[in-house]
Amino acid sequence: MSRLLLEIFTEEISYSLQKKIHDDFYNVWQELLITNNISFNNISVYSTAVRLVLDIDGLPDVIDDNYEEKKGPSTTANEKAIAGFLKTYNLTLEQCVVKTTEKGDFYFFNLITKGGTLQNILPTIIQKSLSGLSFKRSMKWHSCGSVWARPVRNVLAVYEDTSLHLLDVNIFGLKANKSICGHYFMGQKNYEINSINDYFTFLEANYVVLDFEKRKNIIIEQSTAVANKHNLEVHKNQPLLDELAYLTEYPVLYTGTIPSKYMNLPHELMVNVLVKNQRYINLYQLDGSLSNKFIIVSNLLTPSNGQEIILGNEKVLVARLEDGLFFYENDLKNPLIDKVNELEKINFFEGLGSIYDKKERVKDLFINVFKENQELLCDLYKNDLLSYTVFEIPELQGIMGSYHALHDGVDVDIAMAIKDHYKPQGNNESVPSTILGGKLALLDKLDTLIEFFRIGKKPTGSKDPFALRRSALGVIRIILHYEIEINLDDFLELDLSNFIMDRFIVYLKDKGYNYSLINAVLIKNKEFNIIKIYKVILLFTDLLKQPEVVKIMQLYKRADNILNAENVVEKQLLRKDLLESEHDKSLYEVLASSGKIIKDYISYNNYAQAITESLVISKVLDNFLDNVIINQSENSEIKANRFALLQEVLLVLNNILPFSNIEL
Amino acid sequence: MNNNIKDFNSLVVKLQEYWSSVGCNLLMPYDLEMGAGTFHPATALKALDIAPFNACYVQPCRRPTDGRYGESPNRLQHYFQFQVMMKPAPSNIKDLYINSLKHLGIDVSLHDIRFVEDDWESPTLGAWGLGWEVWCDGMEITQFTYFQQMGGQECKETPVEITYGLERIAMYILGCDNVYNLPYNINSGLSYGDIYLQSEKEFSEFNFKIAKVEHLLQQFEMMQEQCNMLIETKLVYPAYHYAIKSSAIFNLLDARGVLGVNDRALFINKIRDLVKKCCELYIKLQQNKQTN
Repeated sequence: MSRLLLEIFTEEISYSLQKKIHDDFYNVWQELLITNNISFNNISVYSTAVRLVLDIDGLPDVIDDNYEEKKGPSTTANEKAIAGFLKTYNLTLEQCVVKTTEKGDFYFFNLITKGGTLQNILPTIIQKSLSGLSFKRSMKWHSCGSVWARPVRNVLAVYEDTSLHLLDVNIFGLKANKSICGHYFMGQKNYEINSINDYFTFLEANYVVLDFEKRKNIIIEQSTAVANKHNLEVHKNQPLLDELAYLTEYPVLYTGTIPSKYMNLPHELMVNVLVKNQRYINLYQLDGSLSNKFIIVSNLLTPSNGQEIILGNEKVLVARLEDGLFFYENDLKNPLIDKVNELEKINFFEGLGSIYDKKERVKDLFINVFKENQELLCDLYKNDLLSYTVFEIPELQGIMGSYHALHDGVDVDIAMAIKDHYKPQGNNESVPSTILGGKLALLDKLDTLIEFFRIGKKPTGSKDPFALRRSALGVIRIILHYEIEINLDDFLELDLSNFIMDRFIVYLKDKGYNYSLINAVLIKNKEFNIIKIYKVILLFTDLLKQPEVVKIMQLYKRADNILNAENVVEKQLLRKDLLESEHDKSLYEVLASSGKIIKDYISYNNYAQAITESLVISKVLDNFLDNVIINQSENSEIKANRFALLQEVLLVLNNILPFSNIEL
Repeated sequence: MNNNIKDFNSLVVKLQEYWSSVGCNLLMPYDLEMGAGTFHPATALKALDIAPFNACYVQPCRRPTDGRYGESPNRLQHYFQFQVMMKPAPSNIKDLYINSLKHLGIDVSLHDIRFVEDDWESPTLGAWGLGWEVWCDGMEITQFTYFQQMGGQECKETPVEITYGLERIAMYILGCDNVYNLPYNINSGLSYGDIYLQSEKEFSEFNFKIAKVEHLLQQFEMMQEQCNMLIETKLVYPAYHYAIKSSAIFNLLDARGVLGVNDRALFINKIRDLVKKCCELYIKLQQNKQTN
């Protein structure tokens, strides 16, 4: 048995990219081994920011030739087909044999994949595995023209049976060797390994933790220990932990302290600096407030226990927080409302006026849509766009306005609405946390949609440069969350309400609602009231789980099928005098009485009661269909009258839902 | 903390000393206003051909919109970059770079040095590259980029560009919180502020309020015309010289706040177009030189 070890040593590759390379590399190798008929025990792939490592054990020492019988075209096939077959496998006709099968005589031949020693076979496979990867963005660094995510600086390629052998691999302008480097700053350089186990032992002794999960665990355990020591809690931020585990080959955690003068800065501002800029792990008090301790995940163990690193990082942090404090305090000097006229200076979009114009339009929308006067809110909610802090850190828009408003003594309701009005940004982000925030966010997005549609900037195909689909989805989610009763078509042009309707259908499909049910409900729908439509879909989704309701649907379809089979298209006249049997009479009566009740319920949108009432019809209809054979009616008049009865059934039930379209 | 660097001067001297010792030609700053050391023809044009070329130089940079009237402790409309350009990128470039930090007296066994992904793109130069910002104890001290394209042209031999923000590193090494308090030269006793503060204030005033817009617009047109004319006459260095000039005029117009979003894009396109033509011409002239 043999074992293969490959290390691609590069300059630093970012987490997201290396993670993908890691996963792809594993898959490529599995595939290559299988297609080359090479057995193996286990494939392990490891990666750090500068290493991609492959370790496969249980490989055979020698790989046998592989024979595979390939079936070609029939001997009676035309010349072209036979020539094509020969060309594909680079054969002459003499190399093939003719075999008789059930379907006649066919050409066959043995496809031989040459085996050999691992030493001969592996280099080709290694080359293939490395050229078989694709990158979102790759680069050249060398005249050899190779591409990779970042420059490759060394390739180690060896296999081991009873001893260690170098593989003859030439790639990236490099010749593979047995040499490796430890941690860049703490490890030994250019060490020649004498066995595969030696590789792993060397790295461990030279400050490289090869396994990503191990590095991540070190960070989690050590940060938890720090938190416990200070009676604090660690903020669990998985993407950050993953990134930190990739940024370091040997994670060493140090604890820094934030000077108290900055602790009153807005929480989001602090987190932006600590986490987003500096990639620190932040810690929280047990009451949920931010602690003045933070964790630096470094890549270096120092004799001074990180003293310089802590000092340096604290200094950088203070400089950034000092900037933040300077901006924030400057912003607070004047009331937020003072900025309102300056909004004229900020363009909303070419041809759509300024942000001042936008907030005026939203003010009007508040009155038109909700009959509310929100003068103050509208005069405040965009003003932080003119603040120093938002100029520096744009992602704090809304949030800074909210803090400023609270500082000015504005109502909490208004401050919260300002804070949340950009929400929800993505599919997973929550909607605004208050109803006022919900309404503001809704109208702000609606205005964006109305205006861009007005100047013809609608999304086309995959192009949606102004993220209008996201705005529409936001509108829908807010309406659903707060159960806001508005008929969108009262305010919107047809093309825009159709656009929002399309997004609504996509939203419902994504949520797993039955597509035929969605369509059936929408066919019936006359006004574009999202929450009403949603409630009906919700109700029927539940109802259609009940056997008796499914029964109504089935009876409806049965009646519909009879009419279709007999080609009854025109409306038949229903005559009382032609009600021949008891079944005819009962059905007639129940339709008359329940039909009216159902209609009434529907006019009040009371679908649940309408369904209950239709159960009365269902029983009688069931009897009717089981006992009356329409085709054997006494005469054509009675037959026609029975068609009329069925048409009436459909008419009455259609008030509830066009059941024929529903596929469960 | 550091015995090698005592003031702003010695930082410049140490970097020059180090990079010229590894074979970079110590060039002089290009004598035009520019937004970054990359605009220097020794980087922008030299990135394009295959002849080996290594250079280092200080380049004064002007970014008019960054002016703060001398009131910000770390933001300036005029500052200095130390630029290293090596083509082809040596395979030990990372070691060379780390050694430069050691040469500055940064003890890499005590300070946490990291390469954090930061890909670079310059819309005006029509250029992009992949690389990192280098962090020292959480502070960005260098930009490290492998150019892939310049002036819309693929770089045949990959150049590496290393850019040190001199004020920033000096502040870091000297433990100084305000750029204007940096000792410029301990033998003269002058600070960075003694030398540059007044100019910083006056240029901020000029950039944001005084620069005459109609003149700038006229100048921009004239630069464009001159550049195009020079491209026709196949004088690539003078042509590129005027492309840089037009870019500097654009930066001023930007600071004056007279360009809307669309205008801005339009101006950038015009400059990129000039740079692209210059780069094409440069490549063509180099090829002619080789065949002759």
